[in-house]
Amino acid sequence: MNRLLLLLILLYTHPAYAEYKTPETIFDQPDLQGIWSNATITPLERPYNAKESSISKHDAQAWEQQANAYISISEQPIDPDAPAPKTADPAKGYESFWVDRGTNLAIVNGAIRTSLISYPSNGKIPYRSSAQSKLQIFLSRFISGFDHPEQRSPGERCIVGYGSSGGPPMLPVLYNNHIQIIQNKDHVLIHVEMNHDARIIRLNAPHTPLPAWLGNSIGIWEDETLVVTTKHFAKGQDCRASMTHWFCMSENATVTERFTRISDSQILYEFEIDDPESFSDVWKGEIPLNAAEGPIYEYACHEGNYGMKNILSGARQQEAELKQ
Amino acid sequence: MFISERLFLVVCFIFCTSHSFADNNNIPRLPNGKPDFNGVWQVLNTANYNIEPHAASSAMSLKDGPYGSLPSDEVVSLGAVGSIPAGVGVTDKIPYQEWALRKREENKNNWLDRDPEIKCYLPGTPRATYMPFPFQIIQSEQAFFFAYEYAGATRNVFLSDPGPAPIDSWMGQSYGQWEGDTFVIEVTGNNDQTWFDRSGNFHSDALHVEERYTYKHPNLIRYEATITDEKVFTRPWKMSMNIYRRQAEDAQILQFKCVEFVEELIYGHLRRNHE
Amino acid sequence: MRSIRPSYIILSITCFLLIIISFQVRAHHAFAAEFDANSPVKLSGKVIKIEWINPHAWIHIEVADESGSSQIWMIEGGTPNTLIRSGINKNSIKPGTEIIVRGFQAKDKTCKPACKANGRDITLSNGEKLFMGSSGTGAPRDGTDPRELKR
Repeated sequence: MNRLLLLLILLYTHPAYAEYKTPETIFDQPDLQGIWSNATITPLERPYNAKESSISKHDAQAWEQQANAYISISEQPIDPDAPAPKTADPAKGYESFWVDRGTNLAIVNGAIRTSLISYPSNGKIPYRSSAQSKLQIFLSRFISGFDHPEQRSPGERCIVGYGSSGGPPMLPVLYNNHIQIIQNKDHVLIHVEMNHDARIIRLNAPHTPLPAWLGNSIGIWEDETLVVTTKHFAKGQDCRASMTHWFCMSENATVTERFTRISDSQILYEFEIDDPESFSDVWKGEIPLNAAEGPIYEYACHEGNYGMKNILSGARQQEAELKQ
Repeated sequence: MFISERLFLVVCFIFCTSHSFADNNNIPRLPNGKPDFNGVWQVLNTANYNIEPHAASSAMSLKDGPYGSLPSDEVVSLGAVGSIPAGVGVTDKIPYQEWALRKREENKNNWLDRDPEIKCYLPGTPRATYMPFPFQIIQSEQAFFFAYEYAGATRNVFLSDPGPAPIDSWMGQSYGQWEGDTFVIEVTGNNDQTWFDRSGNFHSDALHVEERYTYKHPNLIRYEATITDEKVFTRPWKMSMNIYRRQAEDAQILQFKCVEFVEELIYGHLRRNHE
Repeated sequence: MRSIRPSYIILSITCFLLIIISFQVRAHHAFAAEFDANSPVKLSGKVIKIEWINPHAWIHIEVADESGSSQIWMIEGGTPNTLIRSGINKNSIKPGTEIIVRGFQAKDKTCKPACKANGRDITLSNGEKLFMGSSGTGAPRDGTDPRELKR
C-alpha cells in the first residue's frame, strides 16, 4: 500500500501529468513576457482536400516536406550563364533567404492542425454574401487599382503590417512574425514587428471610443488567461490579405483574444471574431506562440516605401505609352 | 560659534537632508526597488520648433519682404496657426563645424522639402522625446519600452549589451543601464535621416546619444541628452528639459498614424489624371 | 482520426502553392502592381550600396554594357530583418562585390533615378546564392562563410 501511494505521488507530481503553473511577474500577474513567434505553415482556412481538423504525424511530415521543398530548391546555385527567367515561368518574388514563415504545422493540444480556424468545424470563414463581394473587390485590386494610393492595401501603404500581422487577430505571414510582450501593473504591451505597432492594452479600463487602425483594446485576467477585447476599428482595416489568407470584416467587429501560457516556451493564442454584419456566425482560431530568439528589429516601412511610388509611376508610365 | 548658531546649523541640516530624503523616497518604484517610469509623459516646451533659444516668428518657411521676412506662399494661409512661439531653448549654441553650420542654414531655408517630420518619417532620438505629442513608458523588471504617439514610433531598450547595431535605423539601437536612480540609455546605430528639430539641426550616421532620465518629483522627469557626432560637431554638446506626467483621462496615448495624412503630399502627383 | 492518403495531401499542397505563386507572388507589395512579367532581365554588375530598409531592401548595382557605359540598377529584395536575425549585417556584402540578378523590370522603365527590377534570383558571379539558407539542405555550415544564415 505504501509503495502504491508513493507511486501515485510520483505520477501526480511528474511534469508530464502536473498542470503547468505560469510564473508571475513582479506585479503578481501571470507572466507572458518575452519574444514570441506565431510562424507556422498551417493556413488560416482549411485547404479544400483536408477533411479533418487534424492529421497524423505521418501525413504532417509529408505536408511539411512538400511545403519546405522550395527552400532547398531556392538555395541551389544557378549556372552563371543561365539566361534571364522566361516570361512563361510563374514569377517567383523572393529568394528563400528573405523568408521566415515557419517550417512546421501548428500543434494545439497535441493535435496537428490543418487550419488555424477551429470553429466553425469546417475550418472556413462563415461569410455573408455582402462580405464575400467586398473581399472579391479587394482581391481584384492586387492586379488593378493603380490610380490612387488609397486603392492599395493598408500594408502596401505602410499604415499597418500586411495580412493582419498586427491584427487583431494577429496572423502569421511570410516573415517578421515576431511579437514582444511586456507587462506592467495595469498595461500589457504587445509590440508587433510589422508595422512597428505598439498595441497598448489597458487592463480593467473602458474602451476609448475612437476609431483606430488596430482598434482599441482593453484586457482583463481570467485566472491565468489574459482576455483582450478590441473594438472601434478604423474603416481602412476592413480587408486584410497575405499570401495564404485573406478576409474582410467590418469596422463594427469585436475581436476577442485569449493568451494562456501553457509551457515555458509556448503561449496558446485563441481568437474570436464577432461581426454579424459580415459573418453568419462567429469564427474562432487557435495559434501556438512559440518562444523566439529576439530581438525585434525596426520595421520602418513608410520611410522606405519605394514600392508605392513605383506602383503608381509604373501605371502612369504605361498609360502614357498607350496614348502614343 | 555660539550654541544657538550650532543648533541652527543642525536644524538646517536635518531639515534639508530630510526634505531631499523624502523626495528621493517618494518617487514611484518597482517592487525590485528601481525607479518606476511607467506612465504617459510629455514635454511642455517648444524644442521641436528649435532646440536653440529662439524668438517668436511668423512662420517656419519664409521669403524676403520689403521690411524683413514674410511667410512663404506655401504657408501664408495658415496665419497665426503657422507662427512660431518663443522658446528659451533646451541647449546653447550648437557647436557645428563650419560646413555643417552652412548646411543647417540650407536645411532651414528648405524646410518644407527637407524636414522628415513633414513626411511623417520616424523622428529619431532625441527628437521623439520632445515632439508635441505624448509618449508612454512601459517598464517591467525585464524590459523598458517607449511607445510614442507621433507616427506610432517605438523604441525597445536593451537591458544587456546587444553589441554593435547590425544596421542603422531611424530610432537607433538603445541600451540602458542604471546609475543609482538615473536610467542612462546609449543610442547608437542611428541613420543620418532624422533632424533634431524643425529648424534644420541635423546629424550624420556617426550620431551617438547618451540620455539620462532622473526623477525630480513623482510627476516630473529631468531629461538630459548628450550628443556626440565627430563628423558634424566640434565637440559633444548637451540638451536638457523637463518631462511632465499626464494624469487622469489624459494618461493614454492615442493614435497618430500620419502616413495616410501625407499620401497626397508624397504621391498626389502620381494620381491618375493629376492636373 | 482517419488518416488522409499522402497523395491527397501532396495534391492539395501543390494546388495551394500554385495558387499562391500565381496569385500574389510577393508578400508586401503585389508583384503585378510594380513589375512587368513580360520584361525579364539578367544583370551582372558590381554592388554600389545596399539600402538595408523595409519593406524591401534595395541593392544598387552598376551594370556595364558592351559599349563600356554603365547604368545603375536598383534591385528589390525582401525584408532585411530576416537576414539580420540570422547574423547578416550592413558590412556583410562589400561594395564592389560582383553579383548576377535575374528578375523582372519595373513597369516604370524611365530609369529615373535608376532602372529598377525585382531580384528573383540573386547570386554571386560563380552562381552561388548571395545569402545561403540553412534549412537542412546539407550545404556546408562551418561558420567561415559570413553569408551563412545561423538558424
